[in-house]
Amino acid sequence: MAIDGLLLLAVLTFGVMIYNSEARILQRQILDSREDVLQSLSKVTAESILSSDDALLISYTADLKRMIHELETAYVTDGRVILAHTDKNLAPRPLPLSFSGQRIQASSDKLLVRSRLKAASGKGISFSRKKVRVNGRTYEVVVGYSDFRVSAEIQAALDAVLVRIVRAGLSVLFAGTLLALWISSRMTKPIKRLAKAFAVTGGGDLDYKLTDTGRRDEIGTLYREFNGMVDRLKELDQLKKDFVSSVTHELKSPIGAIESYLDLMAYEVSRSAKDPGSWPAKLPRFLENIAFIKQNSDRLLRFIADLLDAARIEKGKFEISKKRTRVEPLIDDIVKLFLQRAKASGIELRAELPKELPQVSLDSERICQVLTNLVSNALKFTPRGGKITVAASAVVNPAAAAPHSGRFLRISVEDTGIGIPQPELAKLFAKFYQVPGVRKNAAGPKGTGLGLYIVKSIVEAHGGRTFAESSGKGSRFIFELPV
Amino acid sequence: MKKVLILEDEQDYVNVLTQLLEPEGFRILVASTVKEGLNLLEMITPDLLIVDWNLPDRTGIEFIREVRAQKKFRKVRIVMNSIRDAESDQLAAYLERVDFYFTKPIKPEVFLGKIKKILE
Repeated sequence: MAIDGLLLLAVLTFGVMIYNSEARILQRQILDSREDVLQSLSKVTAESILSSDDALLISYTADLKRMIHELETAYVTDGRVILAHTDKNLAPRPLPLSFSGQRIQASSDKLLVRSRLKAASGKGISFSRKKVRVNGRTYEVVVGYSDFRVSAEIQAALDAVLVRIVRAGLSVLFAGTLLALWISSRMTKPIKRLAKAFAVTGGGDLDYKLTDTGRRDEIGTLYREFNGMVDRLKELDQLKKDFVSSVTHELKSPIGAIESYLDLMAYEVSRSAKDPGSWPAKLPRFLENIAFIKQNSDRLLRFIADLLDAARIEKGKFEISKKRTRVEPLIDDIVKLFLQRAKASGIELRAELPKELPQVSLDSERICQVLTNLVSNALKFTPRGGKITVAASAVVNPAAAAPHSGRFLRISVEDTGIGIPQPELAKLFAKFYQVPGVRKNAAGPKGTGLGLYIVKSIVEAHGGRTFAESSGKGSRFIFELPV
Repeated sequence: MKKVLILEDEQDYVNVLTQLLEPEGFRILVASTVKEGLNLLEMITPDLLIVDWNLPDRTGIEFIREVRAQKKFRKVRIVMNSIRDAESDQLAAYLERVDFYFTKPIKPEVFLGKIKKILE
């Protein structure tokens, strides 16, 4: 448990810090109290001399030792007489004292120690002195503290501090461990749930959803992101399924038709094998069937070409080779190409080109592909008696991105067909997208759903943009190429 | 003369079925959407329905369900002719009481043989 280790380290560090500062404070306190005692004794000395009341000083001094444990001795002297002493036997007495054959001066520390101090204490006594002047005379106030008792006192106090620190540390450790356990259980439970969700989703079940997404913490965000990811995966999965079924259908359908025609003709030939005379009568039918077979194989080839284009676009390997070209001849060519088909369907097809059009840098083959796609779409969705117009104009779009001058050549293919519902306009250019329910109104074979996707990609490869407009009565497909 | 209604939106299959069935003496009617098919059934009761699955407005299965729900069509034979070859699709069609499920492309001999058998 790394958290416990960290906690222990923190508690230890704090413990050492508190212990050290506590020791410093204690030492300071003792110095302060020594000063205090010295101060009070000086005051009492001054008062008792002023009021000529020796008894007060004598009893106060004698009492000091009882009051302050670490105090070893204290006395007051005027240099000639010991006025007061913690040892009542020593005051009042004139100085110098004669003690075990030694003359002891007032200033001598021996005066105070006498024999009563245990040798074992060894450390001796620390003295503090203070001079007091009263009525023109100087008195000396002296207090002596036993170093041994002082340090014992400090040690006892520090021991108490240590006990407190250890106690506090243990409770912090205990509480911290509990907290860590609680937090980790709170953290690991949702993480375990997430891990399970990932495993299930990774196993292919895209319907697995995390509940409890209303949580306000980061876990809630994670849950919501997870569900969003699953939704997007599902969309992708659907797209993939649509793609597969679309491709399968577009590949199978023309082949099925071709095979059906071939089998039918083979059947008819085998049925009349013994009657070769009837063969010439079948020929016109056969030729018709062969034309249908050709149509289907064309459709197949076109689809495969579209698929390859789409794959190149996907891989980012879709390349165009641009050359500065006039666009009018391209439009004229395409209109001419479709004129026959339009006439046959009773549709008027024409180009509307202004006199002066700017030259554009483009890949003429690819732009022809774009125009072919748009015009054949228009033909598909325009009923008899309708009109299709291919128009071009120069436009200015100041909002255009940096590399462009803001000048564009706009080419539009407008029809008077069935139109496109507004919400579908933006989706039209997506891969394999076909407006639902629209096919029954379309003429000719079903589309591949790739045409407009390729159109958009070609135009974008030129640095241009594609969009569609529809007013309900007919629609207009527009693309713009930078000039 | 037996009447056949072909419900099929792809012209190629209409062509093939027509060329296959006409010489056998069938009278051919064609509808390319479910709506058209139901309209035709208001006027004519055919002997056989050949129904595609994927149609522009609704599915062939829905069409069959509506036809089977009407008593006057209980003698009508119905076959499905679809590019969908999944077993689940075939099962779904049989649950709607189709008489046979053909998968495209059309195999002329098998197709004709089966149809004749069904209409016996």
